[in-house]
Amino acid sequence: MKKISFLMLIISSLFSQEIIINGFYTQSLVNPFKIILDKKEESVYIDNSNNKIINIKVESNEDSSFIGNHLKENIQIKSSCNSILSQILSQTYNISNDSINNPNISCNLTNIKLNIIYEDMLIKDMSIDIEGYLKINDKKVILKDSIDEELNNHEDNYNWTIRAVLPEQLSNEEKIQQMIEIILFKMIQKGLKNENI
Amino acid sequence: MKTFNLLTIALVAIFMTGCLSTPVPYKKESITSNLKNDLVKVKNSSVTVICPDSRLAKKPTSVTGGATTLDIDTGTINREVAKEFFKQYFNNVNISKKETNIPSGLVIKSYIIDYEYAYGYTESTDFIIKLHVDAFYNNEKLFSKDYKREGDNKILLSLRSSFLLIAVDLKPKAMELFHKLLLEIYEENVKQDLIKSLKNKV
Repeated sequence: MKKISFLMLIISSLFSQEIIINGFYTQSLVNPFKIILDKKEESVYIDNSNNKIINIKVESNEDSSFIGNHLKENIQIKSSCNSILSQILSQTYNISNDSINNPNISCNLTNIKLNIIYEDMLIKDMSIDIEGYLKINDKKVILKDSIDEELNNHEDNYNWTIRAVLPEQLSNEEKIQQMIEIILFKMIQKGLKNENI
Repeated sequence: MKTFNLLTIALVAIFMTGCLSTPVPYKKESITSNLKNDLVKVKNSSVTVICPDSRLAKKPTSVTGGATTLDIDTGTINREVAKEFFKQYFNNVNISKKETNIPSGLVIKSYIIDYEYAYGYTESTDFIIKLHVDAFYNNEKLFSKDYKREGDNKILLSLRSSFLLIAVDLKPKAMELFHKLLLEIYEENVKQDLIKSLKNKV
């Protein structure tokens, strides 16, 4: 039984790809001088306990076998977006290991939908809808937004400029990671601001 | 004879184009689109940028535009580009032409050592800028380093022949590249060294 499970795991990994949210594409949105030089008087604890894997849903004007030519069948992602949360918080707070005496914050993704529009056999447009939440102590702050391939946000019309994060030849999976990270950064930043953090 | 004289004057005028140069000034618009204005800035520390006045006039290393000279106000351009770079990250940025007492906080002393440029056969330019930077934090030296960066604006290529347009067309584009390249040195090279050194000191 164990052998069969192991075999199934190997086969599924051949057709799936895991995207890791590590904050690579949001580095230029953080002020590194602020992290190093500004004195921080308050601390927060980032709760890393929840790290499930979720599948990205794909919707398209073509069928799934056609999409398979451009993307792996299953794109998976870890639900935690704490790497980006940490980038933002470390500009203003000390990140503490003490979970008892400090505010307990975590970020989690619940739903990611990738929308692809094909034209002449090629990807014409790609956009991503993201749902997640910030958990601040016991309070949940819902995060919901979307972004397109040009890194334009649809709902709020806030603009930002991305520099040094637009390498010419990104794979589709790298583009997806970039889009997710950029929108997450803005969503988390806004969510924290609304909660005065 | 009259035609010959006119032709001679015209030819001399063409070859002398750019010889009577005035220093090319700083132009903020060249770097505005490359600056980040949405970062959370440092509040508790200040930056002092010290860049002395200087002016460097040079001829291109290319045959194209060989009779022209770029006379650049390197002191002002370096000072202003450095100021704009640090203003992205710090609330409090002071600039100075002369070194008085080194104040506390982050202090950057910098000057452009040299530059080289070559005009392409179309309207492109290649630039090399050499910059020297001394960095201090709370009166302690972080590093002293020379930087060299090359760049071109071939993306702006035009098929128009530019022989007679050198003074009109090439200079502004070349100077835009000069500004951008200088900002790139601060953003891609100086910033990395500062972060690395500050992490060890603070």
